[in-house]
Amino acid sequence: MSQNTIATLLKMPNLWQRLKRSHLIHSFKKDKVAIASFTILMLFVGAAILAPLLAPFDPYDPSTIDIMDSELPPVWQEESEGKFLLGTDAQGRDLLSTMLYGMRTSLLIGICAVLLQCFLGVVVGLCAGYFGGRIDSFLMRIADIQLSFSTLMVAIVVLAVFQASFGAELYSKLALIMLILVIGIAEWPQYARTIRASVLAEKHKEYVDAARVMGFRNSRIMLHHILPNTLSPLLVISTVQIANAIISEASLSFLGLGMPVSQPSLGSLIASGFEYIFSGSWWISAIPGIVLVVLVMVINLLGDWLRDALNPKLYKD
Amino acid sequence: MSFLQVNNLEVTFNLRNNPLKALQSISFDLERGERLGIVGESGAGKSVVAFAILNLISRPGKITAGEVLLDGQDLSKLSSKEMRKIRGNKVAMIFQDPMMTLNPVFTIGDQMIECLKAHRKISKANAKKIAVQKLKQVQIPSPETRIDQYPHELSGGMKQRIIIAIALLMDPALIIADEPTTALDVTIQAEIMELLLELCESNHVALILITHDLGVVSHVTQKTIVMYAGRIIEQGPTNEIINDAQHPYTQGLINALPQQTLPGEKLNQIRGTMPSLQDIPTGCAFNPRCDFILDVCTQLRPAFTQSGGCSVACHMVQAMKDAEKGQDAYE
Repeated sequence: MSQNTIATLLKMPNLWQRLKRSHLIHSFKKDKVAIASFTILMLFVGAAILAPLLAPFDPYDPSTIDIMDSELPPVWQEESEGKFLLGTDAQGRDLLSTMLYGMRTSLLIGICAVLLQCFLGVVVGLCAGYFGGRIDSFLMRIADIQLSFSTLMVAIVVLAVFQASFGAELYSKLALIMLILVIGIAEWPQYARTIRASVLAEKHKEYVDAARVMGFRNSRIMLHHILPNTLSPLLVISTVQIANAIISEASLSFLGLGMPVSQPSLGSLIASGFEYIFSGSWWISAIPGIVLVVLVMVINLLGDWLRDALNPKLYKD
Repeated sequence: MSFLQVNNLEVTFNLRNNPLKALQSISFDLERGERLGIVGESGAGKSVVAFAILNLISRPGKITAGEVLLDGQDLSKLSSKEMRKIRGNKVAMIFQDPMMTLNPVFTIGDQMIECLKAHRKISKANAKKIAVQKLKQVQIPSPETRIDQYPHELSGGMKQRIIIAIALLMDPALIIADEPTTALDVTIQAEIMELLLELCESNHVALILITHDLGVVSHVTQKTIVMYAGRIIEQGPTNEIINDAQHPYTQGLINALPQQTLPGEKLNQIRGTMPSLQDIPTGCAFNPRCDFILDVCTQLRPAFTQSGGCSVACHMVQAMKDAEKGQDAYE
C-alpha cells in the first residue's frame, strides 16, 4: 500500500464512504434474500412514486373511463384488449394504472401512519423511561388501555361513526387523513413500549451520568444522548409497523371503511373485485392481492434482515 | 473561607417509606489547588459524596441536611438552571469506567464540542480548536485524527485520557474523580494517575479523588478522608493517616495492602463485611468487626477526637488520649 493511500485512509472519511464500509452494508451484500427484497421493494416504491408517468391511464380522470371496457381480462387471456395489460375492473378502469395509483395510496398511508406512531410513541416512551415514577406509570397505563383495543376495532368504530355523522361525501375527501390518524393513533403503544424499555436500559449507563455532570438539560440528554442509542430497535419495529399499517389499511378498505372506490388503494381494489370473483373476473381481486402480499412480505423480510444485522450478538464475521 | 466547604451534609434515600441515611454529618473543606482523597470499602458512600456535591442525587435520594459551599455559594440551594452552569463548568467529574462514559454513537470531537457549546457562546471551529488543544494536553498522539474517531476505536487508557480532556475543557476549579483508574490495566493506571496529578498541579485545579487504592491516595493527595457506613471516621493530612493511622478500620485497610505481607503469606483482611444501611449497629458502626472493642463501642457513637493533625471517631483512641492527658495532669 502506498503512503498516499494510508494517508487517505487515515483522513476523516465522509458519510458515504463510512456507510460503504459499515457492517450494515457488508451484511446486506452477503444476504441474497435482503438484496432481492430490497430490489422488489424499490421497484414497487419507484413505480408508486412515478405512477403518473408510468400508468397508461389516469384512473382519477372519469373522461378516460368507458363502462363498455369493464371486466376485460388480462392480455394473456382470450377476449382481452391489448391496451389493458392487466385487464380492467368492474368500472372499466385499467387495472395496471389503478394498481400503480393504489400502491401509492397504500404506501403513503403506511409510511405516514408509522411516522405518526413513531412520533407519539417516541415522545411518550422517552418521557416514561427517562422520568420514571408516576409519569411512567401514568403514561404506560394509557398505553396499556390503548393496546387492549385492537387496531381494527378502534378504526372501525371511529371511521364508522365519522362516516355516519358527517356523511360519505366529506368522508371520501378526508379518508386518507382519517386513515393515517386512526392507524397512527391506534398503534403508538408498540413504539412507546419498545423505546421505554431501551431508555430504561440506557439511562443507567455512565454516559448519561456524564452528560448530567457536564450540565446538559434533561431535554438535551433525552433527545441527543439517549435517543440515538435506541435507534436500532426503532428501525426494526418500524419495518414491521409499516407492513402492519398497510395491512390494516387494506383490511379497513376491504370492509368498506377505508379509501373510497373513486381513490382506490390496494385494499379497496381487492374489495371492489370481490363481488365479481364468482362470475369469472378473478383478476380484479387476485392481481392487487398478489401485489399486496409481495409488498408486505418484502418489507417483513427486510425487517428480519435488519433485526439480525443490527444485533451485535449475531455477528458472524 | 475555603474554596469548597461541606458542612454536616446528610443524604437520605426514602425506600418504601423507610428512610436510609446514606450519608451523615459529612464535613470537610478544600482549598484551591488542594487534593483530597476519599477512601473506604464499597458501599461506604464515597460516590454519594461526589454526587451530593454536584447536587445530582437521583430519586429516591435527597440531600436532607447540611450545605455545600463552593466559593461561598450554597450549591444545594441553587435552582436547576443555575446548577447546570456549575456542572461541567466550575466542577467537572471523571467516572470509573471509560468504556461507558463516552456516548458510543458520537465522535470524540462531537462530544467535546457539544460540551463547550453548552456552556459558552462559541463557534464550532473555535470549539474544535480548544478540543484539539485539550487532547494535546492529555498527550493523545495525533489529536486531529483522533477527534473524528468513535469511542470504540480507542483503547481504554486512551478513552480515560479523553475523559480527562473533557473534564478540563471548561477549565474547572474542581475535578471530582470517582475511581478513575479502577477499570484500567495496572500498567495504564499509573500513567493516568500521573497525568491527572500533573494537570491538576499545572492548572491549579482542586481534586477530590475517590478510590479504594491507598497507594494512589498516598501518592497524589494532601488530605484524606476515610469513610465507613456513610460517615467520616477519620480525616487528616494524608501522610499522617498512611503512616500513623489511628482508627482500627484505617489500620485494617492499610494492613490489607499486599505490600504489608511477605510473599507466600495470606493477606491480612478485615473480617466481616460492611453492614447494609438498613441495619447499622448501634454505637460505633464498625464495632462488630473491630478487634479493639470496648463496652462503650456498642452503646455510644464516638465523637471526633483530635490526634495529631487528624480527627478520629473512635472510643479507643479517645480513651488513650484521655489516659495520656490524665497522665500529663498527674505528672
